[in-house]
Amino acid sequence: MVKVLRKKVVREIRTSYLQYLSVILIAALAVTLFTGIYANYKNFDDRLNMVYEKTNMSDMIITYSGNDSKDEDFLKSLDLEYEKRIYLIAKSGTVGINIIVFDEGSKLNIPTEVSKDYNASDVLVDKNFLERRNINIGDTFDIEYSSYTFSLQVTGTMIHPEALDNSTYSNALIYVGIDAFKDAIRGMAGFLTDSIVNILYNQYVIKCDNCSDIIDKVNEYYESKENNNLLYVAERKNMPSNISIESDVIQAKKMLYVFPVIFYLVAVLIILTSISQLINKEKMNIGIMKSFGYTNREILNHYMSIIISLCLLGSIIGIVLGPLIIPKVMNTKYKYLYQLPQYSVSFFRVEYLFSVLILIIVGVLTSYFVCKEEIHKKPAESLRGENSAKMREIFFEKTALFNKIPLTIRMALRNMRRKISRTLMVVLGLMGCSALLVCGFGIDNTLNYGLNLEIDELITSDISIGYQDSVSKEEALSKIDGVELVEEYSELGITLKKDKIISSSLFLLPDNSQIFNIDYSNEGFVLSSKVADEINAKVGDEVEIIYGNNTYYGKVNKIVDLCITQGVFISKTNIDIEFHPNAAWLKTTNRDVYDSVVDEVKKINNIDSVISNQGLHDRLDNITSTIRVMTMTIKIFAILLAIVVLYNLALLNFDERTRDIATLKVLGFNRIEIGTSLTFEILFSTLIGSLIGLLFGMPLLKAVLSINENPLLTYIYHIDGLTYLYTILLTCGVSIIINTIFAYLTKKVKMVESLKSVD
Amino acid sequence: MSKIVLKNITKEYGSGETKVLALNDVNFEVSSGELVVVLGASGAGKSTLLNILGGMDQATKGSYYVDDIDVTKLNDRELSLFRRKKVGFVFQFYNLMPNLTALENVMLSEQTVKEHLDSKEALRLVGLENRMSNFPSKLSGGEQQRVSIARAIVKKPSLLLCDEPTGALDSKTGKSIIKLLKEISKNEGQIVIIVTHNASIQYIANRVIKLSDGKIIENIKVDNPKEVDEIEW
Repeated sequence: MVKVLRKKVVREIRTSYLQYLSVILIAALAVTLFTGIYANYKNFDDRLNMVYEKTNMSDMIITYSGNDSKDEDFLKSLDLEYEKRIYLIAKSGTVGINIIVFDEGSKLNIPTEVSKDYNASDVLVDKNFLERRNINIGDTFDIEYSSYTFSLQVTGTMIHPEALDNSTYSNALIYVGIDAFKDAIRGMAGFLTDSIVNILYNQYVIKCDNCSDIIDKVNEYYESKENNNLLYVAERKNMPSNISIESDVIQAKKMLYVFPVIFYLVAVLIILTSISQLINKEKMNIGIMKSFGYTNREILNHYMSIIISLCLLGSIIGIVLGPLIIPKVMNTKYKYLYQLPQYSVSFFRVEYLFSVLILIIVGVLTSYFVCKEEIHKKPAESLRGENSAKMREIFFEKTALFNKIPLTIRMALRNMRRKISRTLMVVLGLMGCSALLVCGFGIDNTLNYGLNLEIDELITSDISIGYQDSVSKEEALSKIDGVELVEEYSELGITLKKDKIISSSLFLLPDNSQIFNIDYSNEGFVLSSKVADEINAKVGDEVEIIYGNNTYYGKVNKIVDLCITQGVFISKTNIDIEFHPNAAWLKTTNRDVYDSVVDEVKKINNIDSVISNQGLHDRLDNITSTIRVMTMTIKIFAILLAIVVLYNLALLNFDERTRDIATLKVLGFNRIEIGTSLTFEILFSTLIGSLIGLLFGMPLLKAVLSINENPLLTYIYHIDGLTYLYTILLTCGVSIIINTIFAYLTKKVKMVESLKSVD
Repeated sequence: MSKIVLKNITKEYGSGETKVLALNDVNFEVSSGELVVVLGASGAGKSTLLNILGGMDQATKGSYYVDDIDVTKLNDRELSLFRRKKVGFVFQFYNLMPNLTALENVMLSEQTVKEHLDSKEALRLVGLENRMSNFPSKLSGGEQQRVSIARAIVKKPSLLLCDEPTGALDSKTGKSIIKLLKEISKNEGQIVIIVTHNASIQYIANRVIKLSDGKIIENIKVDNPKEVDEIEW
């Protein structure tokens, strides 16, 4: 570019910096979001991989029942690095305990941050669990596993790659050396210790490069066996111990596909408006440059370089702010949920440049299409500087109604029509903002609605209990102080069939339940909506239930929205299955007795799980914490988007109408009267954009939640009426604040100078 | 019966070494029905004087009375009201609202005061009865200036200030505009002050004020001004 034009670029930006601030801001916002979300994902993923690498985490796992030497021969034939180990799901009092028994010299899935050098005589316990429970090294755990009971004395602490989950409801992990384990059970097993230990081996942890192929081979091998002893085979990302953290990593990545896209689209709009405005102002200068002999390319480069400079400036801000802010915000949640190495900021990733490049390409293309027409005009045409678009009355303006509207408002309405591309920008920008706000608030609504509907209205138990066996405990439960009502039911694993075949649960409920508040008294089944959707069943359709060797047919009586409990519900008397309760709901006399009742329930034999209503709320809050952090981010960015779009429009409007403002001042209009005209135009566009945006809130909400699916929770999409009201109030509020500032600025418009300028 | 009086009006811009004296001890009086032409080279202080007369700028020193109101003592809000009630402006570049029709532009001014002409009547007075529903972009320069005049006179101001009203027009159109302004001063009894470079206009004025370097160098009352058709443009 010609040197003097380069100077003009710098001066142009310097003198009209306010005008271009919105381009910088939106560029910064788009890049901040992209780099921030990407940095968060990479950071999270890297930290997880760091743990996996440090601990030599296996790539897949096979869990089986019953030792078979042929299984190991098969694995050997695959020429893989593997280890055989004991993995027990036990309990200590009321606490769930997972026990990994390792052999001397074990190299796979080893612990990290171990408090001491360890060997096969050590018992290492998850560090976070010890701290949470106030347990010290030297303390003893009394373990119950099946019919065995034994004690393990803690000799050290660790972090294990299969116990990165910090959540209070997840089981604790104890990493026990084989010698320590044998010592622990010797008292009970005596000379049979070695034999028992051999029987307990039930897992292979395996390193592999192409795990999906290996999984296919493993499945093939076990299916071909006469006695298939395979319980499950899973890649690392599907291992029960790691599925939660792995799905969080995937969610962190998926966020990249939603929000940055919206902001890049708005960036196009803002660049489009700003460059149009610039070219409009510069028509005369373009004519002058052309008359001096500058080529079209030189002139085009000149204007495009302004946009490139602005995009670059915004991008630099974004590259700094994104990785600095978003991972930090998200890490507050990750830190709470997982044990991972320290989070560190990384400003230099090639992918960041990709986001900048996209923005610049978007900016260059937009500027090119805007400049193209003006550049190809003859110099004389540009020098004529005829800017005013021809106005023409449209039908509405000829009506009596329009003539009753105050003149300042008529001016605003016509200005919106005259500057249609700019009006469109506000409408589209505000549509995005309003859709984001509805989405943000709507996610909260959806989560709260689903949980409240199920916990407080449809299944109104105060405490839920799962049994280890299928023997009634009604008598014992009824005797607990504070228990008002006990309702036992049975949850059975079934196969459900209609258009598709799925695994599901069948709930056999007591007649006239006072807790399950859905009418299931008629023959036929009540289905949860998720299950109904999966098999494509509607009310009145016949479905097939396969349980054991029997098949049961029935019509769907009702479909209910449930977010936690999924399956088929029927009265125990309406189906020919013998009723053996394996779960119960309790109602207590009041909330204050929750904890004491839970403690008493745990003392009853063969209780598998017990959780109070409050505990369930806490657990679900934990599960939805990422989503809730995300909704807050969505809301903040939506407001920022509104500010940038409205600021840009208000500034353009103010700039363009400075002459009108000055004339109105000269005619004796006061600041409020002038401000009303300015405010009306933007407020009206805001309202239109916001109202249309409301319609897109639900689709966006579904899109966002679909990338945040959680196996433990089904979303019952719901948006409160108040959400729509808040959205309109927020967008209009931002609009009013920005316009009030600009209305105030009319005071600074100098009547004299404005009136001297030529149109 | 309106009257304006300027006593020792001084206007300074900047300070220290960059201080510029735009108006220096300006004194004159004008009574209603007078058409005053202010002449002077560029930088003589014509526009500064017009801005002070119109309440768009305040004098650094001195007093300026319109119908016994000291305009130099008014605050921002009072100045707005002053412009609204007492002053009509005609600009060199018309300054019509591009989004309003000719009639609406005049109504915009009409609606600011209680006592006013009918907007259609004002447009009829300037000969635009057939162009009322046209937007400014559809009007010629002369027509736009007529709308601007109609907008100024519709509120029956005591003072009609015209800043180079013919500056952007050809001679024929310019003459017709000046003729119109002269008729307004004669028939409506308003004070009309025209600031211009065009020396020919001085011959139709009742009073000619010549400015040089911010000072009045001539203030001549003309007893028998010429008719517009008699002057060479």
